[in-house]
Amino acid sequence: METLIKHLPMLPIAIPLLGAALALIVGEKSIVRQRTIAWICILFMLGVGVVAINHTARGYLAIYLVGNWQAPFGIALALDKLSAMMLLLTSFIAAIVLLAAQRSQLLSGTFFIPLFLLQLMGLNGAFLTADLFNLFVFFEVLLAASYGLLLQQPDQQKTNAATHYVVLNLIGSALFLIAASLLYGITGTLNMADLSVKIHALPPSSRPLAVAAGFILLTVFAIKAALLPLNFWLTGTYRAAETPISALFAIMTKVGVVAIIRALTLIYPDGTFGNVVMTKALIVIAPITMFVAACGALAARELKTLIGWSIVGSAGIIVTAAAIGNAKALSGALFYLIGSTLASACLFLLAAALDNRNTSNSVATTDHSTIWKVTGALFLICAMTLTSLPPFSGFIGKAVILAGAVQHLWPTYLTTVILVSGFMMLIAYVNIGSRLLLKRDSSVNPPAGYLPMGIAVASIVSLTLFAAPIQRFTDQTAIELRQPQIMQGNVLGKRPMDKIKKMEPAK
Amino acid sequence: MSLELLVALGIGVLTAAGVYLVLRARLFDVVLGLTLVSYAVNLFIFFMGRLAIANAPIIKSGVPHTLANYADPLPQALVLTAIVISFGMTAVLLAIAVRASAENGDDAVSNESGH
Repeated sequence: METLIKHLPMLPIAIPLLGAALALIVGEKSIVRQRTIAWICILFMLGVGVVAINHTARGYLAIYLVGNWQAPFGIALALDKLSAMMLLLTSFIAAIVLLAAQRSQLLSGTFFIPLFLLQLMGLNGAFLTADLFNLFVFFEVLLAASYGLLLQQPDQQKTNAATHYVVLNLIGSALFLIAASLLYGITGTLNMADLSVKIHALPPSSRPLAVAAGFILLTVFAIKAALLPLNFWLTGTYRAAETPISALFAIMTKVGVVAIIRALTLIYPDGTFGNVVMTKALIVIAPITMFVAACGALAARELKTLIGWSIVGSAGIIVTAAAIGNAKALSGALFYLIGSTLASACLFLLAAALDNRNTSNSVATTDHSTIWKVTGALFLICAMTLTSLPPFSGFIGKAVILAGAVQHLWPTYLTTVILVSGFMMLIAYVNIGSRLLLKRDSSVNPPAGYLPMGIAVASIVSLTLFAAPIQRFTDQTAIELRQPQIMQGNVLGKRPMDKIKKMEPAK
Repeated sequence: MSLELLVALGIGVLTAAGVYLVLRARLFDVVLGLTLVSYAVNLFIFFMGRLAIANAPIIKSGVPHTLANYADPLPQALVLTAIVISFGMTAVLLAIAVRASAENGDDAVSNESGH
């Protein structure tokens, strides 16, 4: 147990990697064993997530020096409150998605389980790493896996969506490399905590370059988070993917959002020269993203497109809060992030049940009206969370963000955009919801599995019921994020362990 | 100075050609363009360790440990990673592009998956 705690930050990366390798060895022929491996990995990850939340809530910030190299030279992993929260959310969504995937044909797909586990490894790594280049590598890991997942059960629509998605992300990777090497060129480091110290101490002649690198980084993260004008890949891709997979993709945009939060709180922390211009740009772009997402939602004719646009919208509001930058807005954004991710993942699963393409095997023997009632109730709860209606978690998160927004320089602009786009989103959901559920414009599939959706909705409801302790945690997270010196001190102050045996240099 | 200028121009020309090709509506051109862009980026990473002539990144005894006497080893390690990743991703993209062009009947970048 002691050793496990010591290696806690490494486990969320090592477990899925090991699982993926094992699943490959077991082979596609024995799906049952592959599935068992995946479940063991996810249960471990859930356990690690809970332990991580528990530890970080008590003020523990774990730094892990990979390969026992001193911090700015080697790669460091940092397990703080934000990464602990994202780890638990990722493994929870992974569990729901795997549960849903079991009931579809996906498990027998090409390398589904290995790809799924590698995607989790990439996500976890991206949340944990404290090194900019390592972040790039984990982005590539999760993207490579997502290309494979997107192309499960391929057809023409998926191939075309995948082409756009891959090309866009390859350009994003090129930009990321340019930004990372530019920062290395001017500061001589890639460790985020060290960057935070060194950028602040740059001579005035290098400052424009540092800001340029920051903006290129923001562009890359904006592609991942689907901020305007880089959001057009999202709806097509998410619509094309098989349903449980698009539910997993719901957390993928959050990687970009978390990376933006890290960039604005750690690499370019509040009050430094880079932060001022970057937040100014984001405070314009992110609310417009929200507004355009609401317009897109109004125009959406399919449930999956609508969910895609609301994912864009939620990325918009979270980044707005990150750009506002005070502890209140950040805390609200993190709270909102949990609820909206769960709700959009659950809605994607519901979209499969409400899929009007599979009319052949719809409405089978089970009680007709009960199916509609359950489906309708699930839809209602998820839609209320995503449109931030009380009493669900979306409302609490948005209310706290609004409370933070009024302390900003431009309170009228921010609150107006947030409220108006929220209202437009509501109209869009009412429109689609009434068409699908009241007019029954679609057929409902027999509930192959309400269990995963039930779990998701139960967690959304418990987010409201246990809002106080969760909010206390997000408050502490926001306060921790606003003090980059905590991370700087911990990462740069971490000493490597004593070597057991000194190697003799070879002559 | 002239060497720096030459390197910068080389990277610039590669990027410009790459971006031009990426913006064309043919998948084959897009793949070629991305390859050119990734070459440009790899060169950019490599030269961010500064241009060092006839210096190895290996410590010699008696020579002071400053970058004036050595090549920076880290960009060399970074560029290796970047090359491997961009190579692998290009292979994936080629596979998808071949499939897409077989399904669509030609290799025009399709807008079928739209919104």
